[in-house]
Amino acid sequence: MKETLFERQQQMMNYLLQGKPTIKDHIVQQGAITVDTRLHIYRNAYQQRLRETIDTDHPVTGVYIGDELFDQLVQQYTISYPSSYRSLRHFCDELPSFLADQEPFSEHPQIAELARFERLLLTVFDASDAPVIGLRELSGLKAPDWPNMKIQFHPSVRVFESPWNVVSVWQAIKDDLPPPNSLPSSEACLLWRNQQRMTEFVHLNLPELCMFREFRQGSSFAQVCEALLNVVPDDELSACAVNVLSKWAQHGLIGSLYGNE
Amino acid sequence: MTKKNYGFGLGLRTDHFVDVIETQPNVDWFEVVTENFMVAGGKPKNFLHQIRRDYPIFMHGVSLSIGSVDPLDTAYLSELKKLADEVEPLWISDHLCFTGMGKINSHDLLPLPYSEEAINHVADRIIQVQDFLGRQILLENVSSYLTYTDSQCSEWEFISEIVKKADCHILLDINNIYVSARNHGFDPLDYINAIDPARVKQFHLAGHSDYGDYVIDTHDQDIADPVWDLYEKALVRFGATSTMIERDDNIPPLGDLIAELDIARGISHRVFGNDIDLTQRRARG
Ligand SMILES: [Fe+2]
Repeated sequence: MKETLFERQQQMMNYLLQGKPTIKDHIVQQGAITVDTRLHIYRNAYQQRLRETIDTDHPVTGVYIGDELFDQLVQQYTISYPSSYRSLRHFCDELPSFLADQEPFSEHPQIAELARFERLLLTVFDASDAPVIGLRELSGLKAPDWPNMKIQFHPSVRVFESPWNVVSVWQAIKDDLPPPNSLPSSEACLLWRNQQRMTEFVHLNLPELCMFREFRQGSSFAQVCEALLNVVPDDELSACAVNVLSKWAQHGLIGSLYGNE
Repeated sequence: MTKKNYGFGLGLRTDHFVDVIETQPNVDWFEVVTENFMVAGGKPKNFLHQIRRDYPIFMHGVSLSIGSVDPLDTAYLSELKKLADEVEPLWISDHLCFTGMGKINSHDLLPLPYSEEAINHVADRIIQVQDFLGRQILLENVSSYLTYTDSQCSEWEFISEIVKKADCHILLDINNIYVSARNHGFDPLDYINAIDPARVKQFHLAGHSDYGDYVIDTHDQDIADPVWDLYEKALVRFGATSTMIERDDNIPPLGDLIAELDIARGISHRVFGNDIDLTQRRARG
């Protein structure tokens, strides 16, 4: 008996996902609306919903590749990656890796990178909440505590590094400007959610990137400074380090300081 | 038994977060889509907590998939319970449908066959859910566009039997009754007259798109006249019942939705006069 419910649900899902017609024999013919029309209402809604999700999550990637490729993306992605998530907000989680692996998209690796950047912005937007410390707490740190000081970043903080200039492409499209040509580059960006809970990002220069990577992996301020010596001249080191830290504190990127317990 | 009537609510939508907080509109409560707030943190959740300070909340889910042959999603239930502990909703609801199987989610509210097998299956699962949550839930009738050959009874017999067996309650979507009535060719009053008034704890009102031969539950339009008529008849049968408008697309300014809610208030006034017992009036200050 249990079999019937199971079978019907399976047939319905197979119809929605792949258009398999076996469910048709189990739908009642009623009134003027054909069985095909009845079923099509569901399939159309399913496809439309997934399309809208891709469009909402990846508007910039959509503009970048144009309507024709976008249609192809929707068709291939929805078939290859039916949603296994409770919420549609995760439906496109595999989109960057799909674009990186799947022709014709994989022939233009910047497309996958652009999508990866768009996803990261969403991840930052949804990250957990946590208190942050400001400039006052940072400058209140006593001199002997500086060498051992470590940083816990706010949970929303992410770094985006890409071999393509996709952040510039993203920004141009967002501003309704013609995007720059896709070029190999070594862009790095720091993303976070600010105190107004809006997503922000800034480009990182080499010293900033170096400091972020070190702190992120749990290095102390003394260790960070040592690493920083590879990219900053001796006499600029402390000014540079303090400068970067102050900026982070002002932007609300630092969750807490530890290492001196 | 007096029925608790919480008055007139609205589905809380992102577009209106700021307006709600800044203008404190004349709405008795808000219904939120549960899954939208099952996130770690961020802006929407912060808004919810702010709005919760001023308004009672109903939690309305779309992922319980109570009719699915997949096992109940215990991770989902745990998150649901956690959110309910935070929000302390007046009611928790979800839909009488299945949304997927084999871990694949259609993100749609798919119809079930109205069979004895499905009745037992669903009732059994509702009991488990209510045990886990430690409270009764509301089950909403969905719009449907097809009938399975396995169905042995009407939709109203199906839902009535389930809620009796599981001892849960009904969130009656008046628009969904109208939409399904048109698509299946039944009289919506047959539906309404068959439902036990003691089980109905909340109404949904919404707009649809009429394609002549069939009607689709789009939630992107104003509420249509035949749905208002049906709402009036539902009030007569079920008594004063917590009522809200569900608008999911083509979302107008908050003021327009409140004006539409005032139509519902007007109809209720026509039916009951001033004689409505509002169980919980929002403190205004
Ligand atoms: Fe509804």
